[in-house]
Order: sequence, then C-alpha cells, then structure tokens
Amino acid sequence: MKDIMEIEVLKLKHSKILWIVTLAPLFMVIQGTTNLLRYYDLFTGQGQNVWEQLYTQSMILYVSVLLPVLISVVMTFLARLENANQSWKQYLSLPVERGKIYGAKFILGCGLILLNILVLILGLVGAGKIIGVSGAIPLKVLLQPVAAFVAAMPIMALLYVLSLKFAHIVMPLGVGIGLSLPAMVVANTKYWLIYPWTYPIMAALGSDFDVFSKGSLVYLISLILLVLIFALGYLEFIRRDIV
Amino acid sequence: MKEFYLLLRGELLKVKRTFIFPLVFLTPLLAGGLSLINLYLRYDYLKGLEANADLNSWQILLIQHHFLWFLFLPLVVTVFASTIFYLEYKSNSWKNTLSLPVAKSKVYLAKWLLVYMLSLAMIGINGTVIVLVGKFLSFPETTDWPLIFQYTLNQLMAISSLISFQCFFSALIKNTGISLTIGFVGVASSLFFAQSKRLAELIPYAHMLYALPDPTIDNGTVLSYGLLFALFFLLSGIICFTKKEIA
Repeated sequence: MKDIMEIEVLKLKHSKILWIVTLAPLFMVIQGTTNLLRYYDLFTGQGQNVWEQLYTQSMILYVSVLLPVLISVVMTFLARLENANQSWKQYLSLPVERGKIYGAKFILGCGLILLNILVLILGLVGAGKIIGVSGAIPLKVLLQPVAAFVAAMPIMALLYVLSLKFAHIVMPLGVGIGLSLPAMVVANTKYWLIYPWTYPIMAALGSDFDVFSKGSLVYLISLILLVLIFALGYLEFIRRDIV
Repeated sequence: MKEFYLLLRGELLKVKRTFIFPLVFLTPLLAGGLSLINLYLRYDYLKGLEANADLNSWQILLIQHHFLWFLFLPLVVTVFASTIFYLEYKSNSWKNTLSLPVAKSKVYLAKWLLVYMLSLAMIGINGTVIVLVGKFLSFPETTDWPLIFQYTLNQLMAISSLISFQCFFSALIKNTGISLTIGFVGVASSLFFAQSKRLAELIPYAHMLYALPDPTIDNGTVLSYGLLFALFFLLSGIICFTKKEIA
C-alpha cells in the first residue's frame, strides 16, 4: 500500500493539481477579507467578533460553491491520470491488488482536499494578522473547516467512484456541480438532513443557521454513507473489465 | 462556408455520446425545479415583502430564479468549454485535426461556436422552463413576455464574454484541471466582483449577474462590456491558437 501511495504521489509531482488546491482557497480568503474591509462597519458595528466575520465572509462561497466543485476537479483529475493515457490496462495488469490502488487513490484525493482546507485555515489566520484583527483566534475558525471536510467525505467518495467509472470528465463534473448548487437552497430549509450535499455547508456555517440542531447526526450519516459508497465503488472496481 | 459547417458538424459528433447533451437539458430543468419548489412554498411570503411590493409575480420568479441560474449557467459553460478542448488532448487528436486542410482559426471558431450553441440551447430551455413554472403556479398576471425576452437577450450577451474567456484558457492550457479551476473560482467569486460596477465591467465572470432585467440597475453598460470582452478574447484565442505549436 505504501509503495502504491508513493507512486501515486510521484504521478502528481509535475502536475498542476497542487497549485490548484493551494491557490483556489487563498483566492476565496482574499475575496472574503476584501469584502470584510469594504463593509467593516456593517459587519462589526454591533460588536461582532472580527475573526468570526472574516471566517463567515470567506467561507460562504467557499463551502457552498468552490469546495464541492473542487472535489469534483480533484477526483476527476486523479482518474484522468490513468484515463488520459489509457494506462488502466497496464496499471491493473501489474501484480498489485486492485483494492490497494483503489484505496491509495482515494486517500490521496482526500489528502488533497484536506490540504485545500488547511491552506484555507492558514490563509484565514494570515489574512487576519495582515489586516490587524486583534484578540484570540476563535476555535470555530480552526475547527469548523475541518468539520466541513469530514462532512464532505461521502461527496468525495461518490465523485471518486463516478470518476473511476466514467472515463469522460463531464459525468463526474456534471454530477458534482448539479448536486452541489441546490444545496445552497436546501441548507436553508428543514429538509437539509436528507441532502448530504448540505452537510459541509452546515458543518462550516451551521451556527449561522437556525435549523442546525442535528449537528452530531451529520457526522454519523456522513460516515455511514462514506463506508457504503466506498464499498460499492470498491466492489465495482475490483470486478470491472479493463478494455 | 461548407467547410466550416462540416467542421462544426464534426465537433457536434465528437460530443454526441458524452454527458454534455443531458447537461444542456438537465441544468435548466434542475434550476427551474428548485425555483418551482421555492415559489410554491414561499410565494405568499415573497409577495408580501415590502421590497417586492411593486413587482409582479413574474419579476419575483425571475429574481429568485436568477440567484441560482447565475451560478448554474456559468459553471456548466465552463465545463463545456474545457471539455470540448479536452477531447482533443485526451485522444491526442490535435495533430489529426490540425493536419486537415482547414485554417486553424476555423477549427477554433467551430469549437467556440459549439460552446455558444450549447449555451444558447440552455438559455432557451431555461426561458421555457421559467414560463412553465409561472403557468404551473397559476400567476394572476398574464405571462410577462417582454421581461422573459429581455432576460434571455441579456443572458446571451452576458455569457458570451465568459465563453470566449474560458475557450481562450482551455485552448491555451493543456491541463483541463487548470482551466476548470480558473472558471470555478471565477464563478464562485462573481457575486463579490459584481458588487463593484467597475470590477463587474472588467471581469467576465460578473457579467452574468447583470443579466437580470432591473430598471434600477444600469445593465446596459456592463453587458456592452460583455460583448466587447467576448470579441476581444475570441480574437485573442484565435491568434494564440493559430500560433500554438501542437507537438
């Protein structure tokens, strides 16, 4: 497994995916910071915590739009490494267990998304320091993006499975975008719990919504869905014919 | 002319068995479905808002719908632009395509036009879906055709700059992930860009936000920039693509 992970990481060495996952969240932080500075009095006029306002301004569009579509891009990219050069046949004919390839690629995909989240957190802290936000950094700023990552695990698994299943990039991208945008609407209703695409939004911005009363349940459902989707994808992957 | 038509037909054939065509239909249906549910559940509340006091039901529907559609359309158009160029990279067929006895500029133009046609189809279906949603909800007013036509026309202008911009990047950058991410980050930030009129004029991702007909907003200037940028990036794309070495 370790060898396969090393190979998978090596494949990314000269790719641009690392730039994509690190620069994209920074851009959202710059946007959030600029927005906060622009409407500073409006957002902080009633004594609100400036760190929390910076967090909210940067997170709203990041977690609602960018994160889910970035997950699509990352998962599609990992599968495309094999699809583009039609190297599945060669890869899977090597004396390695298919299950390990399947697992290694998924772990790498999740790792890239986690890196994306960590860059976002560092970006938020850095931006706060640059604009001179005083006071201790609330735990919310450091932990809720990670909670969004955990809540997004079933989405990662589903888009990973779709990316492996369909050689064409449009399918996983289309599903990723198509299912993520309604989440913004559903997240504002009491039905959000039945739509897993809302989970990262609720985990990241939950305290801003009145309906986020079943927070802990989200992580349990996320875990169950992750295991279920991952297992189904695994069974399909180890049985599939590579032509 | 026939040569160009054949090129365009070839481009259509390349995307025939992909998920692109279902996306053209499903995206407006999904957005329309969400607007239908939204207005079905909240019509009385929205109608009762002071801010909506002077608006008819069609205007309220359009405002609610637009705040989903301004993300749906550009995101999907970004995918179209990237995919149509990606198809050549994926199958290593640039060499074959460009060794045909046709000008490179026509090849690029055919791809651009295909993205525009797909967007046009989506915008058309979206208009139809809006009318159907209004009919289903039995609005008391008759269909506000001028409003729907104005919205459709504005979208055609607004989206053209984004199409040219994304085609430009997709042709220039071999890595589809980069052109997609540029598009996705741009679209995700469009609401922010649109807050400043000056930024909105200069950034193609923000043009779509100004497609909503609103007498209190100067849509015309921003949309004119949309057409200007569409032409600029289309020409830039043609020039760069013509000079690009395909190894």
